[in-house]
Amino acid sequence: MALRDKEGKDVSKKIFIIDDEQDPRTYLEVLFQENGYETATADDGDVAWAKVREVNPDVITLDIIMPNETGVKFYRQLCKDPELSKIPVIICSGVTRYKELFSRDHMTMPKPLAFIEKPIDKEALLAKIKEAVG
Amino acid sequence: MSDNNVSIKDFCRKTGQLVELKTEQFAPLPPPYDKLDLQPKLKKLSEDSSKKYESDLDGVTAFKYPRPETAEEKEKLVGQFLSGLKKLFDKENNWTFMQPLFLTMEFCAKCQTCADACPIYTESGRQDIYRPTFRSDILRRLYRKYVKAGGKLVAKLSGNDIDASWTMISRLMELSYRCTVCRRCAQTCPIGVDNGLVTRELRKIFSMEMGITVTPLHAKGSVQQLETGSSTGMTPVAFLDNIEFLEEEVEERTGMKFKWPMDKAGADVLLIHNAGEFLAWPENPEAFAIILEAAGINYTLSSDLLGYDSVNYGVWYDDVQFAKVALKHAEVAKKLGVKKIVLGECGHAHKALTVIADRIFAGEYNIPRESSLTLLRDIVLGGKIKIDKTRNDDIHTTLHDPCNVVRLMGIVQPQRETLRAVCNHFEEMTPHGVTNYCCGGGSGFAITQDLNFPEWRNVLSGRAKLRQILDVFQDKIEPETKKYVCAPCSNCKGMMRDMFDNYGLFERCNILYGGLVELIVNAMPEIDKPFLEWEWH
Repeated sequence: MALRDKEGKDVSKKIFIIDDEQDPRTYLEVLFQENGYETATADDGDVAWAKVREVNPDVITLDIIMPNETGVKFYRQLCKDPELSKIPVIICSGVTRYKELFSRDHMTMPKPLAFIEKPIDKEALLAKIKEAVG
Repeated sequence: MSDNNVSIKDFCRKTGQLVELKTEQFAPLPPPYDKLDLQPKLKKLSEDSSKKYESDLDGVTAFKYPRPETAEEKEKLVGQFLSGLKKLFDKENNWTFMQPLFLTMEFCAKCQTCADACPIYTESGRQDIYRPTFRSDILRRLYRKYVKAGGKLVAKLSGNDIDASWTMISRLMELSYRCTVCRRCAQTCPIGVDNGLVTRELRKIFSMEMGITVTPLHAKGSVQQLETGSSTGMTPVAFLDNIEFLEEEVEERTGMKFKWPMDKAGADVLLIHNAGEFLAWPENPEAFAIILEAAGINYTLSSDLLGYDSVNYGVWYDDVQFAKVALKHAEVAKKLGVKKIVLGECGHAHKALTVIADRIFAGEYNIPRESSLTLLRDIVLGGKIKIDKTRNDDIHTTLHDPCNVVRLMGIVQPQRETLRAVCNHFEEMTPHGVTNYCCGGGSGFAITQDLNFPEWRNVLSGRAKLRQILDVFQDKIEPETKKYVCAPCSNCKGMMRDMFDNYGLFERCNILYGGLVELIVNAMPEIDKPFLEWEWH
């Protein structure tokens, strides 16, 4: 259910869930909606890139290994865009070694807000979402 | 509980946790870690985990194997173990190492020369269970009783009779994971007995016959590699995306235009890195690319399934997994039509593809394989690239010898000659070369992260290496001097990363680790900025 302010205006924050697998996508959609967030989804990096402006999310949860375009490429493209790079990104991946790539001290890209390993610890994820959207 | 002296009889029969480890019994470390409070601690399993998982050897678990609940389950496991034991001595089933294993079973003189060579045994304050011959003696008794003809009768008469029970087998399972297979013991044995091999062959029984494996090696290692293309889980698409990202990153950092040659048919060399490098230490494959391009080497990387990951964890625990992965590597090279495969800085990949693969490759699959350390030596000393070694003058270096490259393969001098050519400040550890100490992460230890195994590894199996590092830099141990442990092996670097973090080695002593190629590129005058960024740990 959307959150509304005193004037009845929709003040829900929107989370863009990018994951190629149906199960985690549905799980995150339900989890976020139950916690008062709006959601949008994409099932691959290229699909997500094509609609990220239209979705205009407040925060993104991003899977890494996807069939056509990985989360690495999507994240790079996002970081290069002056507007989109302001959107906080939480990486949600079962491929835990990617944490090493994204936590290097001298990485040229800004670091993502968090790296949450799958299976997802929902409390940790929600805490990060809260941190991202204030 | 008992002190250091544990008999094989106790090992087989006594119930509960056999040994309680105490850090204060371990061999002391040099300053600043001579103070116990600066040392990381061993971690006790929670009561829940102790109840749940087999950990009756020393309170540590690598396998995280659930305790069987019924007598029937235990009996079944014992039967499987004995079946696997017999297969180790059957040439149809053990097509890799039956002969040296057989000789090891038959000919140990029990002189215990190997005990002093084992860093885990000596560093532990000489815990009997870690003595190289302890493990082998148990296997030997089982072999004599259950494999040799008339063994049961002879065992009874000899007084060395032990029964195969789950109590003993579950401890033996964990004990097969208290040895890094560094094979210092095998090297020092006057008659060539190979107690390191015993560790590996024991692990084979558990994996190949009983389906009991360490998750990071098997399910998240070999199996994942065969399914996705890499033990890291990186698919070919992900690898190519990563490559594109890293190419951009190098350009941004150094100002150099940079591109990896990919899937180039007919190249002279197929270079295969441990895929973990592209995630944890991309500077390493980047430095390789800079050097090879400057030297005019006609080489390529592969984005084919397994072609970008030299990892082969089967060398540590399972012949079938080993063979499947090795054959894939050969197929990738064959498909590209390269003249040879060169292995990046990864020790166990050297062992897998250059030494053990000789036992399975034949005909067109037997493509020449070479270590990158010899190629790099030829490039640097052959004057194929420009070097200004003063560019490394602010760094004091030492060299770690990866066991699989140095002791196993005898590649000792090339990396030293290269280091001396690119660094003015280089000092050897004691001992070094073929008598080196393991980093402590060998045979899969470095990637095993479950429960309390990482603490055991960081405090005990890496202890001898830590002492060597502290000793060689002792006169400049203060953080004012930059100190670099050159470790040309992904697995060793993984171990050092964890151990250095746990001891706070960078913060306290300004000691970093890294590969060899990074130092070479740092000495190349064509590179505008220093390639080594000191805070990159």
